[in-house]
Amino acid sequence: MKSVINLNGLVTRLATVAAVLLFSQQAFAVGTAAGTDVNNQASIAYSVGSVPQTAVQSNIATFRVDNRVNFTLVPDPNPVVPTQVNVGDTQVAVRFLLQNTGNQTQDFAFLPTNEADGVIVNGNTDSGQMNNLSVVADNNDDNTVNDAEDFIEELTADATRVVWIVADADTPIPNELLDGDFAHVLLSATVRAGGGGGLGGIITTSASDTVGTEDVVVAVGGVLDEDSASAQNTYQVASASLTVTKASLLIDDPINGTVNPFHIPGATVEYTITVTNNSLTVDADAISISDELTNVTLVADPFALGYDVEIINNGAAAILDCDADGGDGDTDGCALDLDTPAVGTNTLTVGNANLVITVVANTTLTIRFQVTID
Amino acid sequence: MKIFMKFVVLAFAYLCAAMAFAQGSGHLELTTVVQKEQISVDDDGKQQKELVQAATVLPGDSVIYTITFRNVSQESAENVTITNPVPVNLTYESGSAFGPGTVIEFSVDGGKYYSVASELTVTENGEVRAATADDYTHIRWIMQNDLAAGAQGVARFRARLN
Repeated sequence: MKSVINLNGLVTRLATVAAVLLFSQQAFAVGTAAGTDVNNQASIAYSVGSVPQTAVQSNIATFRVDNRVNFTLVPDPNPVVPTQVNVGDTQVAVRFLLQNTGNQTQDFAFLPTNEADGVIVNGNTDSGQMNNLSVVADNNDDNTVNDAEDFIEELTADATRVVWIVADADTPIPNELLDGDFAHVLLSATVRAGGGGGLGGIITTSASDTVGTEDVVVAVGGVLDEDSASAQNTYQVASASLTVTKASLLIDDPINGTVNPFHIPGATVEYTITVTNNSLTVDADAISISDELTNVTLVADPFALGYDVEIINNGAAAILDCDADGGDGDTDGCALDLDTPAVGTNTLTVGNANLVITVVANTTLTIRFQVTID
Repeated sequence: MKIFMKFVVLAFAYLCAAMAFAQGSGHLELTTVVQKEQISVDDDGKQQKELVQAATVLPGDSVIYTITFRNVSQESAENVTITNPVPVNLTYESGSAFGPGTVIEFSVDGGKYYSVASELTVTENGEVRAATADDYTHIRWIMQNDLAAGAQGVARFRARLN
């Protein structure tokens, strides 16, 4: 706390505190509010013939503080941290902060656009486009994307407000988004007149300086007559992310049976292929799993289920199984193509137009079958 | 020649303004005007500074106050002291106070105590430090000589809009 020489009691002390608080606010504020009248009056004391005379006051010299229009717009966080988005997601928000660095309450209008392919933001190159861009301004300052307005209403001098671009990563996607792609968006903001009752009109620098009136000087970023600023933000695509693992278990061989079997011709091996969708939100549709089986023969109906291949889909209600023999026309969704791609190699494919397999977000699909070593 | 004429015109306009604003019914008249410095480039490409009316004033801009005082009586005035508070929303600019034939003092406590700039202190968080221009609340000019009948003087300072 600041105090000054000659404190004369509580009233003075309180006045000093008030003055210091006022000063502190001014020190951090963008500036004196537009429209404020600043007055000055001097006085003169003197004596004549050693007799002190009544002090004389001057006129009051006044000027009115004019409206300096300025603001900043930045991504939040700044520098940009890409917002993860899954293909198929809708209404995904990226965040900006707009601060009114002028000295008058203003409105702000926005235009969201996709950056073109090749634009680099923070070292990341744009290679995709988002759909259905819109703007949400946090006019109730609750930091939630729940406001109706796509413009900032009545932002007081020095205040900051959150603005979001909201966009979809659904289809049709103008430029197909792939896993890891960056899609940059640009938010352009233009200052408008404050005053409530919706988005104010365009404001321009006053044509002339008029003493005693609140003139307007539009100078966003310090550039005279500039009324706009823009900032970029970034989406990064994380599509349904599948991981596939394959495990093998030696069941038996013709000599040792199931006790300490060896990988010798005639031995039976059970394979388990596990497909995990790591995305928390996006299903993987119409997947197809192929497995090349070299120098082995698929065991028919190894689990006594009536099918060669067991499919357990944790995300689906039913257990789906299929036969792998080529004789069924692959209508059950499994195919066993002999000598493909090379002689001695049989390719087992699970999932086709007849058996559309969906791995729901955050679930696992398990495929189990057995072979004998040739 | 052109510059000289401009000066004469300005001086005349200024004098008219001063007379129009003049206050006081005693021996002295006192006038204050607020202006801005405007830099213009003349025909020869030289920069010129001139004082113009404070029409457009934005935060961060400086304004210049000119206080003119005149002895309109037939008697000499003694102990002439001009006092001016630093206006609310303005910050005094260090070293800008000017007044021929005066000693200039400042106050940091609302005009109760004055001293020359180099001797003023402020106690902040229990520690005494030298006062800076940001601390000044009042300025005063103390004339070193009497103001003779009909004589005129001027005091001036610059301040920045917060």
